[in-house]
Amino acid sequence: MLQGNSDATCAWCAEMEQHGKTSGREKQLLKSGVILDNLAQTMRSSKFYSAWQWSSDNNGDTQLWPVDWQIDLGNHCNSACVFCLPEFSSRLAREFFDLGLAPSMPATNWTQDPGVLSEFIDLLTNTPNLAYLHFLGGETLITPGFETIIDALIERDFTHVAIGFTTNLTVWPGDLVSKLLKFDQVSLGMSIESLDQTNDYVRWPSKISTVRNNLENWLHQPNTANWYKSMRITPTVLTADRLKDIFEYAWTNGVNIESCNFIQEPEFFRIGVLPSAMRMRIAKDLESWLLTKPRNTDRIINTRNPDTLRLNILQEARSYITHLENAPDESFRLGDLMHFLKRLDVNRKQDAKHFFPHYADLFATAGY
Amino acid sequence: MQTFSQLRAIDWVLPITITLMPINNPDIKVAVSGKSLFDGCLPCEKHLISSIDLLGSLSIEIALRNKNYHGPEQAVIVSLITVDGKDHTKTLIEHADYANDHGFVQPTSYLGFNGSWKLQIDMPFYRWLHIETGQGWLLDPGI
Repeated sequence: MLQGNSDATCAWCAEMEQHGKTSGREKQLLKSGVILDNLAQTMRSSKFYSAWQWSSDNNGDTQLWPVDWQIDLGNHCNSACVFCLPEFSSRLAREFFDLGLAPSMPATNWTQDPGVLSEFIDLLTNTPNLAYLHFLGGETLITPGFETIIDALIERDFTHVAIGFTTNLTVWPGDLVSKLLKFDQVSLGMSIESLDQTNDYVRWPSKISTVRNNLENWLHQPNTANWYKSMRITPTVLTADRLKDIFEYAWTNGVNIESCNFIQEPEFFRIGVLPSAMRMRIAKDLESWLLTKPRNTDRIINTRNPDTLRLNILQEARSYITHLENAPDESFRLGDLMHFLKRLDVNRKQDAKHFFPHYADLFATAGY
Repeated sequence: MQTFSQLRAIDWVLPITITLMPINNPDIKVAVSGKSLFDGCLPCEKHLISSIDLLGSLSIEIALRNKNYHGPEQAVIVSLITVDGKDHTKTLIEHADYANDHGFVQPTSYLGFNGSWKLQIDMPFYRWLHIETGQGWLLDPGI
């Protein structure tokens, strides 16, 4: 990359930016004061410039400690979302292994080793200028290592460090809430794909009544007014038509919307797998919703600014309209999708057509 | 894609432009970072040009003098301020202080009182802009 070459995974961010969606690289660059539209000047103005200079002159080496961490706690999870992968869900990993969809189980989660966990906590609390810890899973709230780390940070007086985590809204964390309230800043992501029974299917075996109940509980949890809260969505071929409802909920309730990227894997869950005519209909419907809202042309990069929350919701909606309209046609993957869903559904004793009656004909044609 | 080395070879100067519109020939003085750009009566719209170091501080001072409050209205309007080619008028006006003989303290581009309108930014402009426009955390490398 120092020679001006990009890595293959850089394409994910490039695709987001192409559709007007604020990408992961833009969000991370912003934390160093760098904006792509004014790259040279903002880079030179950044407090990190001399460190980058040193790194460039020393073959990519660095003398800095990481101050902003994305911590993968492992795949301990009580959900087996259809679009997920075994490395992110222990429940899905077991199911895939039993169905012969995966040759082996993923390695044991590192957080289950008390010695390793303790060493990691020491590493964190010895990091100069530690600023932000974002925890991934699995389901963070039921991963034992998460609470152990939170307890240690509190005990060692590290509540000035911002904490971020995402939950699948299937469990209420009880005592953990009071511990999280001790931190100066908390970012809470709440995973949800739709507000109806289609969520039960794609985020199996969750129940939308529980999910919505916990969503409401988090939104109205006392003493969390200063928390950053967002609905974390992963729109797929199955739930793209639910985007309008999700965006309307977010708009009405003043909660932000975030998605990591346009889903890339598994390939047959990409939005482009939906036939073009259907995608255009969904895009048109979402466009109609957007037209009822204030028009905004300013591009938002700090998607977490509470003052521009609703404008960010509109920006996200616009990016999905653009993606729906322009995603390459991958409807040839429908057969693979049906084959996959059928295998899961037999195991889960359910019928996809029950959850997606509006797609019954499509599923039948594609071989479900 | 540009390399880091290529990005290092940039112009380290930020051009500043200030466009002023007069109301009845006001007596004004304009200075950017201590350097006088205009001193006298302003008969018509004027575009003033200056520059600052990319990493330096920025100060803009516009003073209205000798206004007779019993005569025709006199004032100077700050129509436009650009930094590095971009219009930042609204943000900069919100940040400026206006010390005047009427105690008017609200952000304004209409300088109709005798006094001094001053904008002072004591950090690199783009770092200031990041904070002022709510772009979120700025991590500290601690070096």
